[in-house]
Amino acid sequence: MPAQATKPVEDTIAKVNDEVAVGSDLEFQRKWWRFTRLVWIVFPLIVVADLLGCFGRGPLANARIQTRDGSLDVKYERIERFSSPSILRIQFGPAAIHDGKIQLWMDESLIRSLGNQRIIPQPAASAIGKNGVLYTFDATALPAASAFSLEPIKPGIFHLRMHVPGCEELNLTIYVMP
Amino acid sequence: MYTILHAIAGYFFLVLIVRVLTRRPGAQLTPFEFVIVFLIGGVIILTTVGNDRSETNSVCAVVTIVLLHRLVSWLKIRFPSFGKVVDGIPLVLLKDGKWQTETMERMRLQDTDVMAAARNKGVKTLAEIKYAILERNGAISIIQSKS
Repeated sequence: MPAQATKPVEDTIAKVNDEVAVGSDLEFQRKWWRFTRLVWIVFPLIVVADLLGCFGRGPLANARIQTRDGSLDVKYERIERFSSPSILRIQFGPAAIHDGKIQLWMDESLIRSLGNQRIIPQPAASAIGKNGVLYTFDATALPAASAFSLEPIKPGIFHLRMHVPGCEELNLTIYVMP
Repeated sequence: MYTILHAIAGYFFLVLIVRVLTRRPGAQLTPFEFVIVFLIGGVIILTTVGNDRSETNSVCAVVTIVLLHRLVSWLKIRFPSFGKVVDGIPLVLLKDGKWQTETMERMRLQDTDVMAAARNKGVKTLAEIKYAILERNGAISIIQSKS
């Protein structure tokens, strides 16, 4: 059986008073203490930011945007979280209803990035085209609203455009946290 | 892919969390070893409550953590400074009959903590202690005066 490789013992560990090998390094430790002080400042800030909704699911994350012509009034979360559900609500104005129907075009990032799971109520029809989907809802009278259940499929910054044909377009910017 | 990225992020985040928690005296694992305990638990929770509950997902996450642990172990040997960051360093609490007050305060230790460790070694008074050292795993080593 071959002999195991060996090497001589070297006294490399720093000593205290030149007699006890401790390996202490107070200068390093002081740097570490400075770093931990910073960490203990940053951690509470993270908690406060989270409570405020800076990372989603809080007051600062909620947003509302309307078209000037009143066709769309959208409540959504401008900061979402990856793979976590959220609701985007759309209130339609009188300008959106034509012949008992509401048409709403939304660009494909609704599905491709923001992971649309469900639409409530279900649209009577949907048609794809122009890099988006045109939904048609039956609407009898105001108020009329619909909700989109989202579950982002990747983190990043996404733009969601939507409009009622012939009306002003809305462009939502949604940040999806990892 | 996200499982692996989450595992990597979670591993290093937990290394940081465990390291910034000040060591307390007692027979404890090193912070480095705590990471494995915490993270495996975390991964189990992730795979339990997450959307992807597949065996593939949990195996990929565990394999990622094991590889990271091996990589960090290698880096600790290759780069001693990295080892200091991950594991910490021993700290002298008492030297030649004098308390190292800066270290004691920063590590939130009291003389009673040192005396408790001394009693375990059969030392009856503080005067008998020449060195008290806070080890990387949170234990306090006692070296007695020769007299």
